[in-house]
Amino acid sequence: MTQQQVPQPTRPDRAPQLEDLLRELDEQRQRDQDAAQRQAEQEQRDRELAEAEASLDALNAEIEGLLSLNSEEFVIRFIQTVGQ
Amino acid sequence: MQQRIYGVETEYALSFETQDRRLRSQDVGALFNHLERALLERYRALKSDSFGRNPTAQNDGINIREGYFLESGARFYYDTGHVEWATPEATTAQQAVLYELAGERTLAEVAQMIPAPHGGRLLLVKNNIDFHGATYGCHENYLVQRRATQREDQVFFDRLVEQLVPFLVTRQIFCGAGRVGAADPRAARDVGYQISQRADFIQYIRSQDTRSDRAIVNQKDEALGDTRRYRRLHLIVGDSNMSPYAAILKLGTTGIVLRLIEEEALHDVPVLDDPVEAVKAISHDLTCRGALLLADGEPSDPIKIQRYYLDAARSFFEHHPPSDATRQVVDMWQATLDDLMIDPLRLADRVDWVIKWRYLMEPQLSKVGTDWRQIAAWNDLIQRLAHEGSGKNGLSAEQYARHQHYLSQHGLSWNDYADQRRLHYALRELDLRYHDIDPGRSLYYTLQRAGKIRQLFNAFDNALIRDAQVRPPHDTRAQLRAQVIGAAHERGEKDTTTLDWGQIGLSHPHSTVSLDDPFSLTHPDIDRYLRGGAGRAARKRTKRTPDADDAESDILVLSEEMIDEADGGLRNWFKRLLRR
Repeated sequence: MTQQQVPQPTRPDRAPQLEDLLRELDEQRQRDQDAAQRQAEQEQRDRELAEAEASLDALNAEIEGLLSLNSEEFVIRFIQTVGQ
Repeated sequence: MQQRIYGVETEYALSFETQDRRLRSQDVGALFNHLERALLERYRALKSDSFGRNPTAQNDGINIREGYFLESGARFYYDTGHVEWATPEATTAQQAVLYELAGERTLAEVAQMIPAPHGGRLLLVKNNIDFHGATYGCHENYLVQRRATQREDQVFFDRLVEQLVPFLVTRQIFCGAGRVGAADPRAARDVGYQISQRADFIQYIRSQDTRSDRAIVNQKDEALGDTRRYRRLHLIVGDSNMSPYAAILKLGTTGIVLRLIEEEALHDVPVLDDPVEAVKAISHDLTCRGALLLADGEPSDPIKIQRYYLDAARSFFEHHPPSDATRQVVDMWQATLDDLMIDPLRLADRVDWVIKWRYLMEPQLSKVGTDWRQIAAWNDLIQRLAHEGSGKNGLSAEQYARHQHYLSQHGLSWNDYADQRRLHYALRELDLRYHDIDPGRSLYYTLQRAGKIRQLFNAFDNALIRDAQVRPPHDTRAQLRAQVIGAAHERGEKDTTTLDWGQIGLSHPHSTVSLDDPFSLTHPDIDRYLRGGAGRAARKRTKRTPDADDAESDILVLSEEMIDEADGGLRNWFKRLLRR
């Protein structure tokens, strides 16, 4: 004997629409929050990168300041003195 | 040997720099005299006397001045145009590097004491090349146990060379100092930057010589102690390190591999097909992953070969518990190879060739918009033009045609010549100034102050390093040397008492005392000498730096807890050691 197919009760038409709408709103809010968080993180990374670049620029400037004005002369004199 | 003596001899290039940062061509011998005088004003020392150890040196045209031993047990002298500083005998890699740094600090401080005209200064450079074909060394010394008979010893040494060479050839990936350009003419137009300063100068697997015919393993057999018990392995293949981390790795891993060889714990060593060519090929390959051919025809690479030795060490130490200092080196070795596997640039905080590449070279290349391939091609042309000269009216037609052909071959243009020539010399100046030991001017120390370098000894330099400037290691015969220096000064015998590594020449009574055992802290003749007269007073130190007595000199005993910390905790290990 086969089991009788019993029709499943259907929900009223409006309930799923409201649930969907609420879910969509919730998802949208989550997406907005995620986007805002991503943007904040990106801005933080950009700030850190800019700071790191500024720090490296400052370091490079400090390094440049320790060099002679004429590297060619410096190297040749070093060879003349040390390799004599 | 479970306990080994380590020592480092560092040759410094010496020059004079004016206030406007120009170098003056000077007689290096005269500059050395200034340095020596200033050193002796500040530190107690006794004359060094090799007691006839180097009878042929002067006849060979080698200009060596014996110099002085200091109370730290170190030796300071002049060797063929360079200032040389030899550390006292140390019993761990960490201790040896501490004394290497103490020597560097002492020289830097003494150089600043010299009144130089017009605000100039003595420039001391801890590197190994002059960029024009000259090289000078950073020699490592390791005490090795002698075998019972001459025949057994020869067999042992042959095995030592065979098993050590693949390690020495490949260790440069973590202890190379880095350099612009190449000294090997065959590589001149292909190599813009390379890992090691010494690699291009290595010509043989083994030889006796240090000034020519340089080899991966130097065979000089001069124990500086009891020759029946010890051999001193003298290595000249390594670079001078500015980074203490790299220096500890260099000495510490080599000491571990020597232990594995002595204990016959190495099996199926990956023997290289051509070690001399491999030294150069590895140095020229910044990826550290270039293929190497083994003698059995199998391919390998530098990291794999280093992994072989590291794995062998880990296996060995499972059954032979290592000292804390050794365990620390093994962990540093592991962390370094792990980082190298991922990206060599991860070592930009601790390995000299990577630090220099990342922070000094790359910004310059970016600024000009060029790469190492172009730099290498230009290097060759710029050096040839400098060598040939260009005459009063510029290049001859023949020269121009020849060089134009070269430029076309390499896709280069005369339009870039001026910029590339400026860059060529700027990179070399940056390279040299990285190795300047003046903390205020050195590019290495500038990077360290900027937080780019992993801190080790420098985290507590004012205590440990200052102590090592005036006090010898607590566990070697350097103690005896220091005590005699103190006593001779107190008794007014400083001009009649002389020292060598393994001998002391006393004037009262007139005698020569042999210190055959580098681990020995006493000797009956020295004890008698110290007990005599003002000897007791000699133990008072009259020329100490103010905070020297506050420091704990034993840096080598690490607790289990410290060892268990991750690699990133190394800095804290050392800081905590200081507080012990």
